[in-house]
Amino acid sequence: CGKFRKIQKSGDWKVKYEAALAYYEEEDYHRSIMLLEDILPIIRGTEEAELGNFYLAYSYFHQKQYILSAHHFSEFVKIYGRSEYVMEASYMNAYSLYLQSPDYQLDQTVTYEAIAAMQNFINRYPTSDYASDADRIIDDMQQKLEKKAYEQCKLYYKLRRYKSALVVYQNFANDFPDSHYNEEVSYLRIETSYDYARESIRSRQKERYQNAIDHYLAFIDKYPNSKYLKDAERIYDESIKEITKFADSN
Amino acid sequence: QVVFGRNQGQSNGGVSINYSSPKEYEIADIEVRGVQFLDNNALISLSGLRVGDKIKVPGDEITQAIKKLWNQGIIGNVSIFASKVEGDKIWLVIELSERPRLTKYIIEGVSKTKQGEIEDKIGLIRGKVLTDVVIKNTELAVMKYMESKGFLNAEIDVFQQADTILRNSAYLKIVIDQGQKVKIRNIRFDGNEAFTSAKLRSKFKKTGMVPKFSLPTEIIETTAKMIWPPNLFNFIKNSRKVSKEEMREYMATHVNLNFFKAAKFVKEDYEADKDFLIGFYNSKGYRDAEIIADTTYDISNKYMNIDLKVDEGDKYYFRNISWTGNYVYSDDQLSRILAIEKGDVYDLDLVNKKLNFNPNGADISSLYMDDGYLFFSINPVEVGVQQDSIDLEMRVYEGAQATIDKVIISGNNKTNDHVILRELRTRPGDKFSRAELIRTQRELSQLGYFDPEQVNPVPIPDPINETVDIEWQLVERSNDQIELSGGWGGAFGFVGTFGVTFNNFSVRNITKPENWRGLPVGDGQSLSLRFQANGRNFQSYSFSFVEPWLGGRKPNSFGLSYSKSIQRSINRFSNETLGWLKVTGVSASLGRRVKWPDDFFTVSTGVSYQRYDLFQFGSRSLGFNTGDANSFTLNTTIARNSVNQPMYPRNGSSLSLSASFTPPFSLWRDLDYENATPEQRYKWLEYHKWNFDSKYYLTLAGKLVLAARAHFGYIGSYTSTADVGPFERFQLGGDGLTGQNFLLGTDVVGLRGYPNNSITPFDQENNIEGGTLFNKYVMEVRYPISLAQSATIYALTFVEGGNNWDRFAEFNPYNIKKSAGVGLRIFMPAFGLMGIDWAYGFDRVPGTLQNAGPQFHFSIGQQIR
Repeated sequence: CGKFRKIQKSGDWKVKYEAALAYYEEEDYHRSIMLLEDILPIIRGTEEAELGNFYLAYSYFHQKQYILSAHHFSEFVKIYGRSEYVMEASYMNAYSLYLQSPDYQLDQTVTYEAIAAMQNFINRYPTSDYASDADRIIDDMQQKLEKKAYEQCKLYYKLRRYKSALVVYQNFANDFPDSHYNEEVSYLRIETSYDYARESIRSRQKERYQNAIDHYLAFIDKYPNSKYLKDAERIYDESIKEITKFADSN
Repeated sequence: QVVFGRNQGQSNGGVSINYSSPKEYEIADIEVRGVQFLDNNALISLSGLRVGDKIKVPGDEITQAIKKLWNQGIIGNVSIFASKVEGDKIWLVIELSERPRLTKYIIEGVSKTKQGEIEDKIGLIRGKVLTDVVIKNTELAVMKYMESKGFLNAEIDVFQQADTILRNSAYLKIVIDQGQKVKIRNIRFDGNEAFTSAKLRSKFKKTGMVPKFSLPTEIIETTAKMIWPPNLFNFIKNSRKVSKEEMREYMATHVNLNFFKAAKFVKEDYEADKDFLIGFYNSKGYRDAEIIADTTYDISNKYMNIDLKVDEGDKYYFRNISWTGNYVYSDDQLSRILAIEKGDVYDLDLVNKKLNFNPNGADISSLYMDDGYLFFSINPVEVGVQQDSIDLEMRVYEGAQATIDKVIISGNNKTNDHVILRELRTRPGDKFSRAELIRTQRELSQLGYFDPEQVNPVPIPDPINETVDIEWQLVERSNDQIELSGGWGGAFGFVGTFGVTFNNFSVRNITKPENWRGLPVGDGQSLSLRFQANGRNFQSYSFSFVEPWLGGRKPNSFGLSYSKSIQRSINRFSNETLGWLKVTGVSASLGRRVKWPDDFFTVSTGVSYQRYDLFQFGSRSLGFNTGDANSFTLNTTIARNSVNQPMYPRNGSSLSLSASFTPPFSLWRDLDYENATPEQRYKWLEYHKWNFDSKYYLTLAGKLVLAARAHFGYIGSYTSTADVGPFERFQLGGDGLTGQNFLLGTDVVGLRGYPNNSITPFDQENNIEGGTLFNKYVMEVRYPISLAQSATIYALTFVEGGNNWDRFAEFNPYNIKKSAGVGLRIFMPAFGLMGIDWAYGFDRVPGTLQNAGPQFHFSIGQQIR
C-alpha cells in the first residue's frame, strides 16, 4: 500500500503512467484506473495518452464496469481514429454494450444500442477476425428481443385482454417474421379470436367468429403439420357451429 | 497563400489554392509548428490526418482535423496551411499555440457548502486549456450564483497562477468577497387604481419584503411630533376621515409579518414575478395591462427598494363565443363545458384552462382526448373587439380517433415487464384516453417500485395509421427497508432488533443468480423478516410474504406469515427458567380487488392459527398461569382506499372494516364452562373481534393538509358463559408501537399524551388485563418541509382522544381521554417512517391521581391506528 501511496503522491506523471501500465499487467485494475484517471486529463495530446486511454478502457472492462468501458472505448475510437487499436476498440465498445444488455424482462435500450454498434462494426470491418463473433452476438440479442415480444403476447393472453392480445400478436408477426415462435403465436391468435368472440356482445359475435375462422385458414396454409392442428381444428368447428346458429336464427 | 483555421490573415508562407475547383492531393508531409510541450506525433494522430492520405483541398478533412484538435481543449489556437504543392502532392503545416492548462482551482471567502455548490455551477474541467474566455465565464458563473443567494454586492476576483509542479500549467484562485446580503425593504407600485399595492405585492411569488413591525416606533414618533404645540394645533384643525385603502396602505408600509416569502432579490425570480403580476391583471379582464417602468435601487448597503409603474388599461368582457370545425360535439355541448357567459370578465387564461387542461373540473380537451381524439387541437381567436367587448371564435380540429398500438416500457432495470404491463390501463387495441393515461401514471407511482415524480408517459402518434404508441418512461427506486436498532424494552433491558423488508422481491429468481440485482428482485413480491431478542428473556421471529398477483392472471394477492415469540422469566442468580409464555402463529390470506361498489374496494379473507403456551407465567394478568390456549380464526377485511399518495396524502380517504371469528367451541365442547378453571376454558379460545378504521385527507390550502381519523375496536363473546378470554384485548396509550412492545397476544393502540398502555382496564374478578372495547379520534394538520425523493419530511399538530373499556356496558363515547401536541415525521426510503411527537395529556391516567401532562413519543413505521 505504501508504494502505491508514494506513486499516487508523485508529481511526475511519467512515474504514474509507467506504474499504471505495470499494475495493469499485474491485473490490479483498480489501481491502474486510479492512476490513469489522475493523469489522463493532463497528458492529453502526448504520445502516451493514446495507449493510456486504451488501457483505461480495458481496465474498466476487466473490472466488469461495462458502462464505463463502453464509454471509454467509444471515446477512444472517436479521438484516435488513426490508431492501430481502433478496430479492437470499436469491437470492444460493442461487446461492452452487449455485456450490459440485461435479462429480456427488463429495459432493452442497451440491447438496441449494442446491436447498432455491432452492426456498425461489421459494416466497417466485414473481414475482421471478430466478424463471426459479432454475427453470433447480434443473433443472440435479436433472439432476446424476440423472446421479450413473445412473452408480451403470452401475457395479454393470460390476462384475458383478448383485444389487446390480438394487436400484440399482429405486431409480433410484423416485427419478427422469421421467428420460430410464429407458429405458436398464429395458433394463439385463433384461440384468442374465438375467446374474444365468445365474450363479445351479440351484435359483434358473428364478425368475430368469422375472424377466428379466417385466422384458422391462414394457419393451416402456413403450418399444415403443426402440433397445434388438433386444437385449432376443434376451435374451427366450434366457430362454424356458432356462425350457423346465427344463420339459423335469421 | 491559403490558411485554414483561426490564424487567417497572418503570413505563414503558404501557397495559394483555388477555392473554385477543389482538387485531390496526396499528403506528402505533415509538420507541426509552435509546439513547446506537446508531442508532435500525438497531435498528428489526433488530427486524423496521415502522410499518404488522399485529401480534397479545400475539403472536409482539414476542417475535421481542426475540429478534432480544438475539441481536445488543450491548445489555444490552431491553423492548418499548405507550405508547398507539387503536382498532386501537398505539404501541410499544423500551426498551433499552446496555453497553460488548468491543474486545479481554489475557492476562497465562502463557506464549504457554498464552495461545493459553486464548483457544480462553474463546471471547470481539470486538464482543459485556460483561456480568457474560461476565466471570464467562471467569474460570471460565480457572480450569478452569489446573486441568486442575495449577495448582490459580492466581489469576485479570479487569479491565474502558474503551477510549479507541472510544466505549462496553472491553477485558478477564485477569491470571493461576499459583502452584505441585500434585502428588499420596500416594493412600491404606482399607477394602480383597480387594485391596492398590497394586493399587487401579494402576487409576487418569490420576491418579498423584509418582515418588519415598525408600527410601535412609528406611533411613538408621530405622537411625539404631535405633542409639539404648533403641530398639535395643526392636527386638531386638519383632522379628516381616513379611507380604508389609505389605512391599509399605511399598515402595509409599517407591518409586514410574512416570514415565509424571501426578501432577497433574484433577477430571474423577479422577472417571473412581473409576469405573474401581468397574469393577475389579465385574469381580471385587464387584457392590456403592462409594467411601463420599473427600477431597483440601493438605499443602503443592506437594503434596496423596488419601484414599479403599471398601466392597467381598460377592463374587457366576453361577448360572443362561436365554434367552428366541431363535428363530434355540438356547439351547445362545448359551450356548456366552457361555461363562460356573455358579459363575463375577459380572461384568456381561464379560456385556455377550460380548453386544454382544467385541474378542478371538466375541460374540452379531455372530452376529445379521453375518446381517442389524440390529434385534437383547439385555438381561440379574437375575431372582434368593440370598445370593451371581445368576440371569440374557437377553431377546432378534431382529427381521427387514435388506437393504441404498441406499449413500450423503458427504464425498468429491476422490475420485470409483466409486473408493469399488468397494471397498465393503456393497452394495445384500446382507444387513446388521456384520463386512463393519468390514472395509470398515478397507479404506477403508488406501486412503490418507481420514483413517483418521474413516471412519464410519452405518446408517440402515427397520424397516417391513426395509431399511437405509448412509451412509459420510468426510473427505478429502491423500496427496500432495513431496520437495525437497539433499545430499552421495559422489563427486559436491552433489546436488539434486526429487520429487512424487500418490496420488489422475486422468488422465481432466487435460483437464477445471473438475474440478481444484488438480490433476486423484479416480480413485485414483498418479503420481510424480523428478529428481536435480548438473550433468553425475550425472543421474537417473524416472516411474511405477499404475492400481489397470485397466478399472474388477476390482481388477487396472497399472503403468508409466520411468527414465534418467547418470553421467559429467569432467576437472576441461578439462571434457571422460572416460567414462560410462547406464542406461535401462522396465517394465510387472499385479497381481491373488487369492482363493486366502486373499483377502490378490496376484500381480503384469511385464516390464522395462534397457540399460546404458558408455564408458571404470572407476571401478567392472563387469568391463569400454566397451560395452553389455542385460537383459530377466520378473518375478513373490507377496505376502500382512494388516498392519492402513500407518503404525504393530500386527499382521498381510506376505510377498513375487519372482523375475526373463532369457531364457537363452547357449543360442542364437553365442558362445564360455569365451573371450569380458566385453563380449561381458554384451551380453545372463542371470541369475535371487530376493528373499524377510517382516515380522511383534505387539502386546506396549498400544501397544508388536514388528516382526520377515527378508530373503533370491539371484542365480544358468543355466549355469556364462555367469556372473551385474556388474549387479543386492546391496550391503549403511548406511541402504539407493536414491534417495540414486548407484551404478547395483545392489540396495542397508541394514544399520544399518555404513557404506553396506561389506558388499559383491569378485570379484578377474572384477573385479566386489557379492554374489550376502545375508540379513538384524531385530527391532525400537516405541513411538508420536504417532499424530495430522498426524504419526505412533514410537521404536524394534532388533537386526539380515546378510551378503552373492560365491558360493553361501561362504554360511553363521550368519556374520552384528550390530548394535543406537535410532531415531526421523516420518511427515508431505506429506513421507513420515523417520527417524534410531543403531546400533552389533559386527563387523568387511570390508576393515578394526576393528569398525564407532557409526554414525548418516538415512533417507527406507518401506524394503522
